Amino acid sequence: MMINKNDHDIVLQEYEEINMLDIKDVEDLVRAQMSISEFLERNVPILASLMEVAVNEAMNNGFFSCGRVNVKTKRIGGKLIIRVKDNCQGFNTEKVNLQLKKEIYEDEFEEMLEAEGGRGILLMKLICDKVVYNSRGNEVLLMKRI
Amino acid sequence: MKHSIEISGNHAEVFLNDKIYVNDASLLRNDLCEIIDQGVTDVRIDLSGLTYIDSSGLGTLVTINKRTKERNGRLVLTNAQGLPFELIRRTRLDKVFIIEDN
Repeated sequence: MMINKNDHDIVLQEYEEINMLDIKDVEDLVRAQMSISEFLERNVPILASLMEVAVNEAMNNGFFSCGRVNVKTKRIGGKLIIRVKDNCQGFNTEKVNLQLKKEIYEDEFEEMLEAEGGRGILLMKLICDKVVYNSRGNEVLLMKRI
Repeated sequence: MKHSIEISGNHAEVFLNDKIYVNDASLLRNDLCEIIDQGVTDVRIDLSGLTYIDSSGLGTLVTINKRTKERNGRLVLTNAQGLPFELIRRTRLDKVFIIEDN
């Protein structure tokens, strides 16, 4: 579903595109992957492939931990904002909400070279300008300046 | 299917195409673990056709790297380029994988 603001706003350079996805099964997930890719290609062609990684990481975390996830991608002016939300119990977000310098994330990758999983949140933080979880840990907001 | 596998003896040549999302990464992991269980020890994965990977696909590569090493074999990645190569470098996995130009 897509909602485009009226021409008045486009003239004012406030062009906005919102895309909402409700993912309930693997088929929805595959459709969402395509839809997110197209949204990013349309709105932020230069950043599309890296941002696609960040959004998929957030969506996969929600979907595989909860079984159902909502993804809202939005471009407002110079910002791309993605909210990913599930309705499960979440997790302790104290550590992941610390905003560290990008170099620190690379050190963290260094410490998990043999790990078969667990890189998703670090990748989101490496790619985005902001990654913020709500206190319950069932919703994450990604922000990228464009 | 976004991967194809050619087996000869204990060697396998794997070609990845297009975008490897979480569902594709899991199919790839299953197929490669199966051929390793059947005796393949040396796996070469050609990344020239790959345009997307994320932590799920990287996790699959780490798994295959481990499984081949356990059997005294090895995983070699070839033709790494674009986004996949950038992610391999930024996650420092270039220290873990054997990466060849061709």
